[in-house]
Amino acid sequence: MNWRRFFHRARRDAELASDIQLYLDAETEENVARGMPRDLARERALRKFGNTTLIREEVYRMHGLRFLETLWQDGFYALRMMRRKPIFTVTVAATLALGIGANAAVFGIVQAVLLQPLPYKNPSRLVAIWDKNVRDSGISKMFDSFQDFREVAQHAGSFEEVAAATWAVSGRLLSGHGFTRGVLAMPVSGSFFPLLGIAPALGRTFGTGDSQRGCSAVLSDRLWRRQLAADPNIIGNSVTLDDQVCTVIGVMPPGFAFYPDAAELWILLTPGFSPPPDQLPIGIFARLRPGISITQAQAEVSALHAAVHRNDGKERDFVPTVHNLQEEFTFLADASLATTLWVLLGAVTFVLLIACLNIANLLLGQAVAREHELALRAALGCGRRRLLRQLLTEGLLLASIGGALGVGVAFAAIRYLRAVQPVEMPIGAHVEINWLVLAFTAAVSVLTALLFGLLPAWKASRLDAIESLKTGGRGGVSNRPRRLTQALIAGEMALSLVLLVGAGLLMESVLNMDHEPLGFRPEGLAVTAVTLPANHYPDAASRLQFYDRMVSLLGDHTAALTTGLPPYVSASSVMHISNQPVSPESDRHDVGERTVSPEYFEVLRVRLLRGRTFNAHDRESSEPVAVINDAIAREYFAGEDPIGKRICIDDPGEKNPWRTIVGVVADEKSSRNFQIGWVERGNVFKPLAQDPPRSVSVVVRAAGADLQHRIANIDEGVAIGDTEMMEARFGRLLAYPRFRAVLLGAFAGFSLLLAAIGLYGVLGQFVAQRTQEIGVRMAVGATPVDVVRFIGLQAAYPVIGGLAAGLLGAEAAVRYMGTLLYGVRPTDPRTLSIVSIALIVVAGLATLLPARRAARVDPLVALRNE
Amino acid sequence: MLQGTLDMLILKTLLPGAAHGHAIAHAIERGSSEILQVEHGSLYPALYRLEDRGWIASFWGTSENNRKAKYYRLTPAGRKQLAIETTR
Repeated sequence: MNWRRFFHRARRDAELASDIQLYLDAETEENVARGMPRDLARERALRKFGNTTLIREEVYRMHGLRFLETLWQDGFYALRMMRRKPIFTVTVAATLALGIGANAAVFGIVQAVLLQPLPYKNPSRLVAIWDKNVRDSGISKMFDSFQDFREVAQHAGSFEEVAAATWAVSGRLLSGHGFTRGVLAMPVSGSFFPLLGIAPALGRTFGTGDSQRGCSAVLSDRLWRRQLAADPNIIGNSVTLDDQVCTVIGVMPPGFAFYPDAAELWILLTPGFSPPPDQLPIGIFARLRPGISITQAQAEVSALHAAVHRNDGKERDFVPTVHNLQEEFTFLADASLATTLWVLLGAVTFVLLIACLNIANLLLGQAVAREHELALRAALGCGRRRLLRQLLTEGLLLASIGGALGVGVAFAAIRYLRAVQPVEMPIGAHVEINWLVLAFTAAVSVLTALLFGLLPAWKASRLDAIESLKTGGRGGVSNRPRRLTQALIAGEMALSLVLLVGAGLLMESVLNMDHEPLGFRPEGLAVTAVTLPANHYPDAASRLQFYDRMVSLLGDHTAALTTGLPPYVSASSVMHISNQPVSPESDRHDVGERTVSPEYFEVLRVRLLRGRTFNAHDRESSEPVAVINDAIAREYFAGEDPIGKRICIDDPGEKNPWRTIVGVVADEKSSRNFQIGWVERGNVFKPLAQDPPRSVSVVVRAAGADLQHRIANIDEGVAIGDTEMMEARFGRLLAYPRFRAVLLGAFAGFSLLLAAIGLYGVLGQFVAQRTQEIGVRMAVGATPVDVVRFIGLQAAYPVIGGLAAGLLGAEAAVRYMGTLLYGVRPTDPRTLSIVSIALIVVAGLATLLPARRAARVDPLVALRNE
Repeated sequence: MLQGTLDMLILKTLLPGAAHGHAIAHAIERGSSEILQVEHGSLYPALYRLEDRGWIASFWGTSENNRKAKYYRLTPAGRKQLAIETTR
């Protein structure tokens, strides 16, 4: 096929026309010369030539692009059909838009979180190395030590760059520019920025000379703009962190981020760092050398670790594990984020499938109605394949419109999600509509068109033209493929049920988590943080004095101080028990420690089980005491009275004396790290008066609005953090589970609605087609109840079948969801029965309306209409 | 009539020189001793096909009764094709 000839077709046809005319004239003249009268001569000439139109068509077609032409024709025809049935078209387009749009939106999130690489150099080769507690499998990712970092940096050949970074440090007070503010300054090694491979926007990152030079800092773009007013001359100036002066050597570009999002500046870990690097919990990050796999790196790191710690026993408890960095960031946002996203993607796929089945059913019904038109076309010579192509083109056009609108739906959904931010997104995940999402949408649209278009098109093209024309297109009794329709409805019901079961289980999990008694009363508790600057409060006595003043000012029985708040317990200390043989258990790092004021238990309403809590007599000069919670009593002192026993947290020393247990309190629920659910961790409480810390959290019941002001009135130099309600802290833990439950519930509800609409439509068409039969039945004595029962039976088969299939499918599907559930088994019978009843009720409603219409059929009218 | 045969007949007809459609049609008819009676119209798609393949070329000229007519002539490629076919 020549393109040039294609475009010159019209001209060629004109040439041919004149050519033919020439032939006819010449032939006519010849005939006249032979003695024929002129009109006979003309007629003979025409007959000799043949069918001029056919010839012209044949030549025209020779130079055409047949495929594109028919596609164009079919497209226009499809548009005309759609214009003639606006309600059908709008319904289908809207359904497709919602289904395809939801798929595109969820895929956009999946793509941003799981597929899109992190915004660093060679992101797929970046790893994180954590320590795993061998014995306590609940603690699977812990920081390493600086010694471990040095070992890996110097001796591990698997990596081409190794860096240390940690966020297990307390906040610092940033002063010197604007007002004093608490910030998280992340200590990092000099190799940190080269590892990530991002150049600074201003200045430079850490270089070899900086470790000798005191404190150097690289700022984040956010801090630079917010606190330092985007001062372009900031390089070389300094900021003050607590009482340390740090030189600003660079500012990172706006898009740069590393975990955690709250870190606003990075300072160099020098040998003279305070606290000393060897005492800091360190995270090790590295880039794999080309050709090295994670397994190989893991083997090398494990061997190094074993060799280094062979003699100090640490090797027994902790083994290093190497993880892909992108997976780590996803995990740090929420341990189940990856699972959640796949579950959501599966759910929207189900919704789209149900929509497609509905549309297929609609089209099947339409094929019956359009029989007359299709039969006519077939009789006029339209081949079966052409008919098939025509119907498929209609489907493709509908799907394209749905897909285009779906992009709009996805766009709006993503804008909404970005504005509302129901859950925390991992670092480096930017959800947006990019070309990958668009390509996905296009692919989904085409698949959708095939899914709902192929079956009806195939069925429709198989009709017997002559029979259809004879019966006037109304069709015989068994014209509509009933079994097929019923199978489709059953499929929809099954898919809906699976979604409903999933949503039900998630909602149960959220309710379980929300209603579990927490071991204390969080209602009405306000929380804020106070940090005392070292220059004004150099020793324990001055700090204690401030704390006593603050508590009495805020109300003796309404305010308490603590170093650790629910729901977080940093359970990473070892507890030694005096006069007990050193058992293997006593080496476990699963004890949390809190320093609290005496009012703590009263203000939080934690129940006392044995002995006493702290009182005014427990001061620095008196005997060191401790209170333990029930979890520790159960675990370490089972069957005996813990009161009077002596314990020590971590290694005993001059600053860390043995303490006598004076009381046992009830457990507080704390969160499982990054996962859904509560645990009860062992906690040891020390009295504030015996070891006043530099910063505390203040918990006040029924605080009133001016909590921060009242504290500031005591001493304005004290740094006061933001105020938060305790319930809000707990609410945050439920953010992800709630998000999942709400979203899946919405999808499940929508799919049930679609399935019900499908059932209603199918039954409605059934009634319309069988009006005669119903009339006959009623004429021979069937009562309205019988008619309703007849219609109901039509619905019963697919609904029951779908329910059974759905229950089986749900059983398989929800096993995958295990990590998302709390307090409920995947096969929870209560959830299954509630959901099944809901499905039956909705299906029943969908059946009722057409059944009632059938019962009201007037037999005389029905029989009269031939 | 088979396409190939018609194509060959057209090429053979044009061997002595150029002709327009009507003349070619009659030449073929005469050449087959008036046994092959086909619709003359089917000639034209064949002519266009041969032209597309480059075995004949068309040009505008004046016919016997002074009308503008499209003439066809054999190209060197067409001559070669005819030689191949006839020696087969």
